[in-house]
Amino acid sequence: MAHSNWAEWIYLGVVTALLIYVGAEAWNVERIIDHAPADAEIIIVTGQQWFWTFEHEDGTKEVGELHLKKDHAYKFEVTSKDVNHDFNIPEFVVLMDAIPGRINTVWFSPNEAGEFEIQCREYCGLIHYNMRAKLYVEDV
Amino acid sequence: MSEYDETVYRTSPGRAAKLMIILVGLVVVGGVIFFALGDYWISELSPAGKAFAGITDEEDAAPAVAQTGADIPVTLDFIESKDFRTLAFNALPGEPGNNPTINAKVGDRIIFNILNAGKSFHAFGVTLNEEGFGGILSGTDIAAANNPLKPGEGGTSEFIPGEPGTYYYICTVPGHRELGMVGTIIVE
Amino acid sequence: MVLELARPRPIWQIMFSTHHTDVGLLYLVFSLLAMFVGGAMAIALRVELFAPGAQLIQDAMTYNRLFTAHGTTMIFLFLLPSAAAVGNYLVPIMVRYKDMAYPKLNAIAFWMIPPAAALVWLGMADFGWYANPPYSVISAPAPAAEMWIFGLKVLGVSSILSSINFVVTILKCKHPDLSLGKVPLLAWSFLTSSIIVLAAMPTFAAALLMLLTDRLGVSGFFNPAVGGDPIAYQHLFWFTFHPEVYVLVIPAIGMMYEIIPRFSRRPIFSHSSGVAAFIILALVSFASWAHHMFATGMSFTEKTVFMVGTLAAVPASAMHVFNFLATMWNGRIKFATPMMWAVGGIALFFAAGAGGVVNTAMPLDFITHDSYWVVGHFHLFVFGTIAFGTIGFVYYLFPYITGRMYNEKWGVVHFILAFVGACITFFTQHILGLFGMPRRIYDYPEIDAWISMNQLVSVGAMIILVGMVIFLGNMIYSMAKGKPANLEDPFGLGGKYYYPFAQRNPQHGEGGY
Repeated sequence: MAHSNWAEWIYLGVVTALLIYVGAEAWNVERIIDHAPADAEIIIVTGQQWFWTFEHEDGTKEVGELHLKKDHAYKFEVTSKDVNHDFNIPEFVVLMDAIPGRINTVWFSPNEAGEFEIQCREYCGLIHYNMRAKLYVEDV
Repeated sequence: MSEYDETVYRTSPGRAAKLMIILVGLVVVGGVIFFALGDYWISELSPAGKAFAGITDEEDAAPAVAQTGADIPVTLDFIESKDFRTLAFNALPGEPGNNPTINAKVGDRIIFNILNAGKSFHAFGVTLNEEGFGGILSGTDIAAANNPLKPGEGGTSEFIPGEPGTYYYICTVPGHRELGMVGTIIVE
Repeated sequence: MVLELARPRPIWQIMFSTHHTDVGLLYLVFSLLAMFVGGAMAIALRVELFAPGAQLIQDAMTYNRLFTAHGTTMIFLFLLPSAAAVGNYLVPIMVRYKDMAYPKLNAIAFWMIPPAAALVWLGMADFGWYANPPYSVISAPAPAAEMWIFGLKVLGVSSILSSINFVVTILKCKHPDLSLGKVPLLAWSFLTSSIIVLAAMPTFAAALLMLLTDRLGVSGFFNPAVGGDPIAYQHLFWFTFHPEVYVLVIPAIGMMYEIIPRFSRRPIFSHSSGVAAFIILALVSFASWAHHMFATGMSFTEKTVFMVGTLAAVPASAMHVFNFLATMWNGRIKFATPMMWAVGGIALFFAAGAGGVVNTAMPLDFITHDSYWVVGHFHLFVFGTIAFGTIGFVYYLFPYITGRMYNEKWGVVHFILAFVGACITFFTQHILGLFGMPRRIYDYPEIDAWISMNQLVSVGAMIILVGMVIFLGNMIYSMAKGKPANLEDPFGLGGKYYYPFAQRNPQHGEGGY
């Protein structure tokens, strides 16, 4: 049977155009945020069941809390000692899996001072729900 | 076609009831089996898990000996700081009674009375290892990391050292030793 | 269309039968049982999450086992068998053949499922339905984990066997006068979803075996302590399970292709468009698996490839939505219960897809990954689209199977409660995810926004529960005492809307259907 399918083709064209737009915009934004600035300070983040430890460039270690400076760029080298975890600072959209045997990197520059939550975003067992830490961003 | 003319009953109250009895009965039987065996289903660790935790079937690093000395009862409570960042036995760091050191002689029987006085999950064991949560000497363990003591639960275990040296009593949940749940047992 | 028998047959005869209508009935009863079991687990989870602190469930281990069992049950024991039920009933009729191609294999494929379910339900493993290593290798307790692995192995084999049956029945056993292009769209949906299973499921079978040997300590595929790579498992898992979600959705869309043209009293807008959309969806579904892994540390190029692969599947889904809407346009629509469920299903399908486009936009995934946004998103698919389509189709098949009519009023009440409940529950979960709440957590801190949204979600879940209880009551009561249905036209649609080929179960004896 001969249907006039022109309506369907126009509809598909609109849908495809929208998707191309979303894809291109996403590609562009990701491209920009993918590279950490060269002067970013490196923080080693280690996740293990069920707490976080942080090591600054100068060797200072912090367990369960992290003190950073406002408007400084930081690059996190994230890894795990046992099972998969996920290092997440929701208020700054920092998110990266902590995988044992592998170091993943994610960077940010906190633009607000205050106290923020760090949580685990990958199921890691019994106390996954309470694998939290505190981020303190100081204005200096 | 004649078969479409007459009213056709394919199911009846009797058959519906039979169906429900069979299905509900199966679920009930399954539930009975599940709950009757309780924690059995989650009681073990996989061989790879045991390897990771350093739990081996081989000869203990300190094989068990008979008691030739005195009984030393020790009470240890798992406690936590409010923010869960610091853990300890009996008292937090800086306060009296924190992680008490136990002194004993070879052949003494140390009887551990353990209570989880915190809000999180803990388990107990004695090890020779200077770090980590493995190498737990057999007979000294109470609960385990994958089946831990819930708040308010407790247990007992004993340890008869056969060799002099420094032993450690720890919480065997990974990471808890690093957060402070460790004490020493000095055996002469 | 006549699907069942006039004279009552003993239950054991149905259980040991290999006729496709009997096997279909077994699949249907089992899958509905699993739906209620999985639903009860979900209600337990939602009661616990109503507020911070322990409510119903006293420890995290039990909670973790419950959400694992909930996910595994709903996907493998409800959605896959319910699709098999519908396929078993109708595919042979649609290709005008007397039974499935391999009737004994059909029965075997069904009977593998209850023992596998027993393994999964008795063990109640705790590693989530993905079983990601290294947790599932070194940390998850035994024997629950091994029971889950064996149970899923058996379920995978069952799926592959039933897929072989569908593909051979449709391609080789169809009537010589019926060209493949003219086969109804429901049969096409089974053809395409079965081909996906055959291509994708063996990968997971391999991954399960590797997980087992890793647990036993004899191999090191995924265990970094002995040189393995945990991300390898995720690739293998998602290579199967991204296409698998299409295996779940495609039959439900096929079911909507049965209901919507009938109840709109118009032929489908474009049969060939539907066929093309199914084929494209099946092929493109293999191009997007690692969008589940955007946070594992993949490179920019890898992520871009999978974002494009994910977006490429959207136009095919959009074709189905257009087909449905264009069919309903200018139709004399009868909004009986099955039609409501189908139309509600399309609306939620659209919303689910829109949320998915957000997830696949790479930077936005860093906001939504492993949060309640994802939970809301996929539940709009599995509940809002697939369960809606399936439940609507159960209502549609009810008179044909039982000879009695369900209660229409209570069917409408069920739909309204389910639709309103689904909107409240799953749309709120999207927002909860934007506020940062992670998935799979037994308890959460006292953040006011999280508490109020969780309470709203739990209330929505209760609304769905009330609807489901009404559904159960309606089914049982109508099975026993419903009004006899007019089998030529149970829904009063008028005209010739039944299949021209009636089925004949050989065990029903001479002269009777």
